[in-house]
Amino acid sequence: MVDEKHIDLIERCQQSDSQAQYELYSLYAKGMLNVIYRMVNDVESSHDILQDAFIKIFKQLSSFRGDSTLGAWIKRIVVNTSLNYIKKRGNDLSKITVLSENAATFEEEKDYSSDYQGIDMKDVRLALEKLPEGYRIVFSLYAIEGYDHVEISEILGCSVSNSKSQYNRAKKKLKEIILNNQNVMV
Amino acid sequence: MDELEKLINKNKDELDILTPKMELWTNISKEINPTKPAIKRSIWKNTKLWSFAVAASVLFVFFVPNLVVAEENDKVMMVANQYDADFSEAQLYYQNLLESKMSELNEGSKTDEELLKTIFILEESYEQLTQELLKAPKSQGKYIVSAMMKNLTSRIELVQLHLDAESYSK
Repeated sequence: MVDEKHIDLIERCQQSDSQAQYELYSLYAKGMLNVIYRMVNDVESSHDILQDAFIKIFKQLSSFRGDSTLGAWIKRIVVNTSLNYIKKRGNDLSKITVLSENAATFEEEKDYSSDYQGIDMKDVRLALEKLPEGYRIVFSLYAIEGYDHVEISEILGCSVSNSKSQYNRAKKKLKEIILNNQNVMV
Repeated sequence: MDELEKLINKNKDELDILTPKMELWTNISKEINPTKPAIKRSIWKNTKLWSFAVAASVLFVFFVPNLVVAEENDKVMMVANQYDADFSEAQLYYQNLLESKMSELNEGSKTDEELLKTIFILEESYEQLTQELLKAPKSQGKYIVSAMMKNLTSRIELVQLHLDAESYSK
């Protein structure tokens, strides 16, 4: 599953080749910093977490077996490091589960599709920053990072149905914030 | 997938607005290669050596096209172009861009020592890559050329980050 061009890079990193280490860092650092930022919503902390995550990545590189792509393996370490930081910060991720227990049968009440004319990614980004933490994490993992609900349930330690319902709530809230911001600007 | 999800799915890259701070790599590198920085640190503590390195770095950036032996340079370009037909053109463009940004940076009040150190390391790496390219088997050449290009763009990104930070602090 590992891309051929990454095999040589990984081997060189494992031999402590500093040029290869820098190449690997350059390939993923920017993308991963933004993954972290979407989860923790704080620029300074995101840099600290990225540093910790890359130290782990290089130290654990020998355990990379190629079961997934290198990028997916790196992203998983980055996501887990971010979640550990959030837990240490005092935010209880189990709230995600609690919040969702009564929402397993949640359905969207309104179809906003027709209201999306003229909305760009800046609007989405600003709205994401305003989402409550639990919503933001689930939404980012599913809609942006591409994890499915089974994977999210493993990452967050909640049930698949909770991940789904939390995602639906997050999406609804995000739409409300976007449209609200639009109305304020008008 | 609704409209919002489609919009996000199509334009995910636009959500990536942050760029890593330049000192992050230095910190990570120190942590994962603990024995190497100890030697380097003692070298960098030597003021004379440090001044020499800074001077060498600046000289290298400004005069590298003149200092590199023309024949060797032509040879590198010829080999690199076999893997990427646009390489020599792109290399010249990036080199000029880098020189122009370094000039801009030198006009500023104080040049960041970490930046110069990193640029110096990257320049050394680039030189190593050109040597490796001349000896590399055909299967490896394209990766080396790609790394050379990445090396140049990384240097430009680093300098640009510093320029942005300077203008932000004004």
